[in-house]
Amino acid sequence: MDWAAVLGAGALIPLLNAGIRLAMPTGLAAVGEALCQRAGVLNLSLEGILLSGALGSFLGAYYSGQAWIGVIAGVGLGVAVAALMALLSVTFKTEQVINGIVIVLLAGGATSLAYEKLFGVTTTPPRFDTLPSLKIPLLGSIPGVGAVLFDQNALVYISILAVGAVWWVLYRTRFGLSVRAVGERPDAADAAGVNVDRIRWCALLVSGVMGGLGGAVLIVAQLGLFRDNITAGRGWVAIALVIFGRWSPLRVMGGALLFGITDALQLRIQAAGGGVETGVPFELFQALPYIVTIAVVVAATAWARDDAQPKSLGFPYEKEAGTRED
Amino acid sequence: MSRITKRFGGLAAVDEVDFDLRKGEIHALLGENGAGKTTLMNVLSGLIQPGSGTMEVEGRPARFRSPQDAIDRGIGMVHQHFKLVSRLTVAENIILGQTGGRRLRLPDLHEVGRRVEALGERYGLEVPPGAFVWQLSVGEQQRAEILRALYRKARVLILDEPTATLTAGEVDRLLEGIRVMARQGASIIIISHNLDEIMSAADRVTVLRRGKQVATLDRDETDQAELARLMVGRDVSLVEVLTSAGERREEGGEPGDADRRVVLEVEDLVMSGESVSPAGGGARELRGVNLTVHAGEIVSIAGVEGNGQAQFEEALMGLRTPDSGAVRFSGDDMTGARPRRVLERGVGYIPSDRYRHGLVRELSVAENLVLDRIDRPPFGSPLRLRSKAITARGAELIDRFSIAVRSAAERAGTLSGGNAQRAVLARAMSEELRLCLAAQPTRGLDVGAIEFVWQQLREQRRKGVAVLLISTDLDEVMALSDRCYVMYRGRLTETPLDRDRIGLAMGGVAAESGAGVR
Repeated sequence: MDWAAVLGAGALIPLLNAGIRLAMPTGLAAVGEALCQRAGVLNLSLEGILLSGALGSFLGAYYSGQAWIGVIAGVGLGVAVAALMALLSVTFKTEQVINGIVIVLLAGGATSLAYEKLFGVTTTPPRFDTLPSLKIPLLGSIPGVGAVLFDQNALVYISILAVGAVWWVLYRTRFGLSVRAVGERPDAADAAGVNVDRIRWCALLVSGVMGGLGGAVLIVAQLGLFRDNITAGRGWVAIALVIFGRWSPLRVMGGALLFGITDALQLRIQAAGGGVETGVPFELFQALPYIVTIAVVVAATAWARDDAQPKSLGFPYEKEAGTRED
Repeated sequence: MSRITKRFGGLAAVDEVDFDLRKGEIHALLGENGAGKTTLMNVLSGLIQPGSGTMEVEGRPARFRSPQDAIDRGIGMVHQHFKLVSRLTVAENIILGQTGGRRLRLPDLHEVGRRVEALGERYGLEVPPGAFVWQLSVGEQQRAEILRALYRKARVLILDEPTATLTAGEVDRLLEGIRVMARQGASIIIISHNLDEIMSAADRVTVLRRGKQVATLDRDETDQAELARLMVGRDVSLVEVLTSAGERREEGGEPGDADRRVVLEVEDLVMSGESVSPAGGGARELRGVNLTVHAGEIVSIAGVEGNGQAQFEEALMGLRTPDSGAVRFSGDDMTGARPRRVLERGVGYIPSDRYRHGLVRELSVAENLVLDRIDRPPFGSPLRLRSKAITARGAELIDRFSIAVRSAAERAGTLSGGNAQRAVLARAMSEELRLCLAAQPTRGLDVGAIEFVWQQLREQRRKGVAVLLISTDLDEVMALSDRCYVMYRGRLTETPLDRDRIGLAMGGVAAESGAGVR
C-alpha cells in the first residue's frame, strides 16, 4: 500500500479536516454529558439520546427534504429522551445507572421498530444527500488552518459554537456556577438558595440538546441514512471521554478530536488498501478509535493527580436527609 | 416563632416551641444533643418546613418554602457542618444562588472580592476571597460562611455550634466579631452547649430539652448551674456528674507495679493522606507520633478535632498503613497489620464514626454484636451461620449492657445514638481485652449514656486493660485519664492533667514552645 497517501504531508490536511468532522457527534454528546455530570447526574442514557437524535433527524430531513428540519427534529427527540431520564432520575430520584441503561435499551428497540415500520426491511436503505462543505470566505483561504477548520459543512460550525457555548455557560454564568456547586455539595447549594432539582433538570436537557444535535450531525452531515444501532456506541465513548477530559468541556472535546482523527486515519488506511495487503481484518481497523480512546482514558485516569470527579455524581439529592441530627 | 412543631417519623424533634429575637441582641439556644436546637433553626432558615406553628419576621408573617425565602427576608444561617463547596472559591461560594444584578452572567468576581474584603475588615473576620475553600482552615471557612450571610444583607444571623471546632484564639475573634455585628443592629442566635461562652456572649438564653422549650432567661438573671440543670432536666448538673466522676477515678485504686507492663507502644509513626472516613476531618497527616500505654491505665489523647486523631485511630487498627514508624502490642510488631489480626490480639475497638465503622445498619443487632467473630464457632463457620447461637449471645449482651431494643433481631439502624454506642461497647468488651481503643466514645450522647460509657471504660481499667481514649471533650479527658497527651498538627505531646495546660497545648502553644509554658 501507499503509506505516503495515508501519512504524507499532503495527507495531513484532509486527515485533520475529516477528523474534526468525524469527532463532532461524539464530541457534542460528550460535552453535554460533561455539563450534566458536573451537575451530579450520571447520564448513562446518552447512547439512547444520540440514537433517538439520529432517527429524528433522519425522519425530519428525509420527509421534508430540508436538512435544518432534520436537525430540529433530532434535537427535539434527544431532548425528549433526556426529559424522560430527568423525570426518573431527578423528579423520582431513582437509581441513575439503571435508568440510563434502561433508556438506552428502550431507545435501541424503539428506533429500530419505528424505522422498520416506516420503511420495511430493504437491501437498499433510503438515503438523502449529506450537507455540502461550506467554505467560509477569507478564513477558508488561510493556508493549512483554513482548509482544516473553515472548509467544513454548516453543522460543524454550529457544533463548534455549541461546544464553546457550553464552556461559557459552565464557567461564566450563574447557572454554570450552580451546576458546579450542585454536583459537589447539593446540600450546600440548597442552603445557598439554589433549586437543586431544577438545575439538574436543566443540565439533563442541555445534555439532550447536545446529544440530539450529535445524532443529527451524524445523519444529516455524514451518513444520509439510518439503520439499526447506527450510532455504534458513540454515546458510551462520549461518557468515557468525559472521564478522560476530567469533566472539563474543552479537554473532553480534545478527547473527541483524538477519537475523530483516529477514525479518519483508520478509514484512510482501509481506503489505501492497508487491510487487504496486511491481511488484518477490517473490523480491527474499525475498532481502532475505540481502542485508542480506552487506552487514553486509562492513562489519563492513572496519571491524574487530583480527583476531578464531582463529589455527588450519581447520587439523587434528598432534601431532608441528614438534617435530622442536632 | 410561636408553637412551632416538627416531627420526624413519630418523634417530635421540636414540640410547640415559642421563640423570639430582639433587634441587636445575642440570643443563645441551649440544649443537649437531640434537644431540637438545630431543627428549630432549620425551620427558621427555610431548610425544612414546620409541621405546624407560625412565624413573624419584623412584624410581618413569614412562611419559608426554601432557604431562598428566608434569605430574602434577611435571615442567614451558618451551619455547624459548613455548607460550602470546597472546589469553588470563597467569592464563588458567596454569590452562589444569589439573585439580583446580571441575570445570566456571573457578577464580576473581583468586585465581589473587594466587597467581601471590606465586610471582613469591618467585623475583623478576614478571609481571602480568591482562595478555594479547600485551602482554608476551619476558622476561615466559618468566617466565609458568616461573610456570605452578611453579604446577602442578613439582619438575623444564626450560628450553629460556631465554636465547637475552633481554637481558643479563633473563638475570641469570632465572639468579638459577633458583638460588633450586634452593636450595629444585627440580631444573632448562637446554638451552643458551652455554658462559658453563653454566659460571656449572650444577652438572653432559651433552653430546649427533648424538643420542648424549658425556659427563656436573661443572662443577668441566671447562672451556669441553673442553665446546666435546665438543660439536662434533672437535679444534677453536668458539672456535678463530672466532679463525682473525677472522684470515682481515685476509688479505682492504683494497679500493682507488677502489672505495669507496656501494652501498646507507638514509635515515630508517620502517615500522609486523608482519613478514609468523611468524619475524620480532612487531610492532617501524622508527623512522628510516639506513645506508650501500660496495662491498667487510661491514657487520653486530647485535642481539637482534625489534628490527626482520625488518622491515628485508623493507623492503630490497621485500617490504613503508615508510611513509617512502628506499632507494637505487648512487644510484638503489628505495624500495618490487618484489622482482623489486631482484633485477635485482644484489642477492643470503639470507633469514632460509630455508624460507619461501628455498626452495619442493615444487619440485626444480634449479628452486629458478634460481627467480629461471626465466622467462628460457636456462631458459625466460614460457610454457615448458626443463628440460634448468635441470637442467644445477642440477647445476653443486650441484657448485660442494657441496650434498649425490642428484640435481638431488630435492625441495628433503628438504634438511637446512645444505644448504638452501647452495642458497640458490648461487642468490644464481651471478650477479654488487653487494650481498649475508645475514640470519641461519648460524642453526641446524652448524660445517661455518657455515664454508662465512662463506667465501662473504668471497669476495663480496673480489670487491668490498657485503655487509650481519643477525645475532643476536655471534661471527659479530665474525668477519666491517668495520663494525657495532646494531639496538635499530627504530633503528640504528653501534657500534665491540668485544664489550662491542656487547653494551651490544644491551641499549639506547648507544642510549639515545648516546656517553656508556665
